[in-house]
Amino acid sequence: MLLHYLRQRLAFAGVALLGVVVVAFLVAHMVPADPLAAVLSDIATKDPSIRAQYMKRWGLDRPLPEQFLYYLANVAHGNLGESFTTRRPVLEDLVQYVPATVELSIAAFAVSVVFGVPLGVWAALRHNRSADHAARFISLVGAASPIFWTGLIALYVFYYLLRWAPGPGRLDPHQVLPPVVTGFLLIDSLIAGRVDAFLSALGHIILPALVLGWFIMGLTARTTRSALLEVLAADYLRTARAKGLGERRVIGIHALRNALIPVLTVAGLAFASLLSGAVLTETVFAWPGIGRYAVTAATRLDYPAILGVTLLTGVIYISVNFIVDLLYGVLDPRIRV
Amino acid sequence: MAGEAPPLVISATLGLVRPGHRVRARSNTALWTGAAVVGAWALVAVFGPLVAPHSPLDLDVMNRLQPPNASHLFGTDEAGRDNFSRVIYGARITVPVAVGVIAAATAIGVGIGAVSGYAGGRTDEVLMRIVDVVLAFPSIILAMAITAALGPGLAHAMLAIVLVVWAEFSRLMRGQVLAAKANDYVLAARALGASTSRVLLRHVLPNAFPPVVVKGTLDIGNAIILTAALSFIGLGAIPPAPEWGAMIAAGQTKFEYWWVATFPGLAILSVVLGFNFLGDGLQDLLNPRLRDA
Repeated sequence: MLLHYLRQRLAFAGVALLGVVVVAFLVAHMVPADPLAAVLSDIATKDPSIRAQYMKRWGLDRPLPEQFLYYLANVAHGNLGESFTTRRPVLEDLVQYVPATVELSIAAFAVSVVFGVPLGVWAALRHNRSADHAARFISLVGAASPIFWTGLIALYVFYYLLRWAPGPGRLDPHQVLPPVVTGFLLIDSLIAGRVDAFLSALGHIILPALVLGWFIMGLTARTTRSALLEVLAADYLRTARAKGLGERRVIGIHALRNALIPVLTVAGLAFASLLSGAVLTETVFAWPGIGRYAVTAATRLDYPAILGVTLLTGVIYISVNFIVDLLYGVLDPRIRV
Repeated sequence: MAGEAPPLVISATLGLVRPGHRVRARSNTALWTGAAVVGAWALVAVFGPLVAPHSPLDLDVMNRLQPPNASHLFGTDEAGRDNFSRVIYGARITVPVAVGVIAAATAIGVGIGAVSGYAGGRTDEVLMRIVDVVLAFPSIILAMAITAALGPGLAHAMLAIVLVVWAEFSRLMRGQVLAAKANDYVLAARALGASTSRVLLRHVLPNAFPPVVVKGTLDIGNAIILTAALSFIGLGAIPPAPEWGAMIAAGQTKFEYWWVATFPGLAILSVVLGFNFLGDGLQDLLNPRLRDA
C-alpha cells in the first residue's frame, strides 16, 4: 500500500517537474526582445548571414517543440545557460547564492514558530475572547504589511535610529568571510573557529529573520489555533482531564502534540510564502541570496538568470511538497489508501 | 395530514447568521471596518484630484526633501513633489489596478475551475495538473520572470499577476463545483433535461460562488502588495508615476528622509488591511461555520 502511494506521489511530482520546465521554457519564449541582441554586437545583429549562423548554432531555427527538447536536455544536464551580468553559468551562481537564502529562511521559520505557535495556543485557549481577536488582528496586520516596507521601517528604527542592529548584509564590512564549507555563515564561521565572525553573522541575521518571520507568523498562528481548537474538542482530552491531569499537562503534552502535526505540515505551505518573502527581504537587507540575485537579474533583463531562479524555486517547491506528502503517508496511515 | 405538511420556510437571515449576538456583532465589526476603510480609499481614488493640495508630478526643486509641515503634510520627495498628493493619486493607480487584476483572474480561474469540476475525467486531470504547475512557483518570482520577459511596465505587471493568480481560483472553484454537483437539485435539473450550460450557470455556479467572493476580496489585498512589490523592484509602474511601491523604492536608501517611504507604505498597509477585514467579514457572513474550523 505504501509502495503504491509512493509510486503515485512520485508520478505526480514527475509530471509537475516537467510542467515547471515547460513554464520556464514558455516564459523564455515570451521575450519580445531579439534574443540575439544580448549576445551579438549591433552590426552583427543586422547581418543576415551571421544571424542565420547563430540561429542555427543555438537551434533557434528549429520548430518550437524541437527547441523544447533541446532545452529539456540542457536542463537535465544542469546547463541553465550563462548569466548576462555575471558571465558565469547560472547553475554556479545559484549554488553560490542558495545557502544564504536557506539560512535566512530557516531562521525566519524558527522566528515564526517561536512567536506564532504560542500566539495560536493563546488564541485557541481564549477562543472568541479578546485575546483571540488580538491574535487575529496581529495575523491580519502581518499579512497586510508589504514586506519590503516592513524591512525598511525595521532598518530605519533598529539600525538608523536606535543603532541596535547592524546594517544590511550578512557580515560586518571589515570581517573576512570564513572559508566556504556549508555556505551557512553561522556554521562556517564556527568551523573556522571564528567567534567574531559568528557573532557578526548572528547579529546580521536577526533583523531580516524577524521581518520575514513576522510575515509568515500569521499563517503559523492561524494553523496552530485551528488545529488546537479541533483537538481540544476531542474525547481523549476529556479523558485526560477526567483522570485528574493538570491543565498545563493536558494542553502542553496531550493537545499540543497532536495539534503540531498540521503545524509541521504547514512548513510545506509556508515554504512558498517564505521564498516569496525572502526575495523582497533580501533586496531590502542586501542579503546575497537567490532572491536578491533574481531581482538584480530581473531588473537587468538577465533572462537566463531569472529563468534559472524560477526553475529552481519550482523544483524546490515540488520536492518539498513531495517530502511533505511522504511524511503525511508515514504519519497518517489513513492517507495511503 | 401527513401529506399536507406546510413547506419549510427558512427566513433569509436565519441561513446567514449564526444565533448568538456575540458572533453576529463580531462579524459585523470586521465587515463594517473593512467596508469603511475600503470605501474611504475608493472615495480618495475617485475624488483625489479635488482633495490633493498639489500636483503629484510638479517639481519644486527649491523645496526638495522637506519634512512633513503645514503646506506639505507628508513632506516632499527628492524632486520636491508633494508626498501627500502623490499618496492620494497613488490610490487612483493601485486600487483600480488590483480590482481589475483580480476580476480578470477570477473570471479565468472560475471558468477553468467550473469546467474542470463539472466535466471531470481527463479534462479535469489535465487542467488541474496545469494549475498545480502554476502554483508550484512562488507568486512573486513567477510574476517577476513574466514581467521581465514582457518588459517592465504597469500593464505587463498586471498581466503577469493575472497569469500567476488565476490558478488558485480554479482550484477553489473546482472544489466548490464538485461539492455543488453532488446536490439533489442538480440531479433533478439534469433529469428534467436541462442542458449542461444551464445546469452549470443556473444551478451550480450560484451555490459555488460565496467562497470565491471571499477569496477575491482577500486577494485584492494580495494583488495590491504584489503590484507594489513589482514596482518596488523596478518592474512595475515607472517613476515618476505616483505608485506606492515605486515611491517606497525612491525612499529606500534615504533613512534621514523617512517620510518619503513611510507614508506610501502606510497607505498600502491600510488599504490591504481594509480588504482583508472585508474578506474576513464576508467569510463570517456567508459561511459562519468556517470560522471555527
